[in-house]
Amino acid sequence: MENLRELIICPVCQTLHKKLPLEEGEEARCVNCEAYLYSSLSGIEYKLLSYSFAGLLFFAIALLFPIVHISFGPMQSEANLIEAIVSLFDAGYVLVALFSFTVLVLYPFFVIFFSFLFALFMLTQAKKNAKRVLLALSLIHRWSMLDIFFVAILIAMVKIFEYATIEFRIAFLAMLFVVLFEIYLSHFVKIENLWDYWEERTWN
Amino acid sequence: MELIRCPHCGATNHKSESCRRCGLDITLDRRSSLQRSLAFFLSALIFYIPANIYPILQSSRFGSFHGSTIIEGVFQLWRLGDYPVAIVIFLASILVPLMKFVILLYLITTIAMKRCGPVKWKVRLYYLIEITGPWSLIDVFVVVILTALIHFKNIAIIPGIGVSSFALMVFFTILSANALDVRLIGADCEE
Repeated sequence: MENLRELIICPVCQTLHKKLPLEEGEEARCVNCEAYLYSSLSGIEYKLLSYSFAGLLFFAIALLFPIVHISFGPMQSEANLIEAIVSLFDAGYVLVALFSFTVLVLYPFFVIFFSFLFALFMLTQAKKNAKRVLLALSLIHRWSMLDIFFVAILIAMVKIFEYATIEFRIAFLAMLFVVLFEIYLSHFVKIENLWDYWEERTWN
Repeated sequence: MELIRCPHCGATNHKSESCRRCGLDITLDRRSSLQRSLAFFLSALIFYIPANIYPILQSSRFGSFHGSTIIEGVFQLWRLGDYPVAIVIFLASILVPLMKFVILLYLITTIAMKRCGPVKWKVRLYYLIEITGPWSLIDVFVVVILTALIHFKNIAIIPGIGVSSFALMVFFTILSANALDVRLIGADCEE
């Protein structure tokens, strides 16, 4: 029996494959159904560290500063993410407010922060801590929904643009960056790939 | 010896209770997975009814309230000529939840009845609902942002009582999909 670390099972058709070393930018696909299997992640710590550090800064801006400013004639209003959730809470929708806080503030923060910690621990050879962080990341990354909220802002603005003057503020751009970071992490890096990377570095 | 894939970290394992790499539970427990998935599915189905009957958004103008359900909102947008937004809301809030219900029911019943069929196609359907599932929350988040922005003295947007049911419905469908172990699809066919 070959070493289990050298084997990978296709998530779609369950075909067993032997892992082969890849050049940078290459990705391996299933021979049977062509589903994505893994890709080369050499030097991912540096990318992850810089992107997640920037992500944390942008996330703070996205949280604390106004996302959008609207004016209906003399009436003006603007809102940030926290205010939006608090307004739900004030309206008596405690459950939805708590859910929104979890998926729009808490989990996105943890996803970025844990990515930062993972990169830091890998660079400092703290492999056990890196594993703990990766475990937490594996469990929560699906519940971060800032990308959906970003599209929801655009839809909300389309709904009211006939009646109001809309100005996007700094938090909107900051949120765009955070969303791009999350897309990078979930679509280009993938948690399974980070686990493979952690395992390679731990055993070699 | 049988090898299985860890659903959490993707590691290849010999058949055992926990993953050799991440340490999480990887037992292929058919009964527990189906029961949990079905329970969450039924909970979602229960919340689907009030989510569609009651208004999701209410507007208050000079003391008079007007509420609209999701489908009324789509028709309203269509009438106003906001076709792209009407299509997005229709897809995310009406079609995707319905599609999730149909696919989840299909997957749960075919696994429970040990029916072999187009396994690859079924796995792809599973991943489709896993990816598109959370996007149904788009309407809830539209309500969140509009409530925060439009709260003037005479004009205000207030969440409708349907919004909690809708959020819970989406939440339970996500849980139902997560509880369904994708490795069960086609597990009996191999045997």
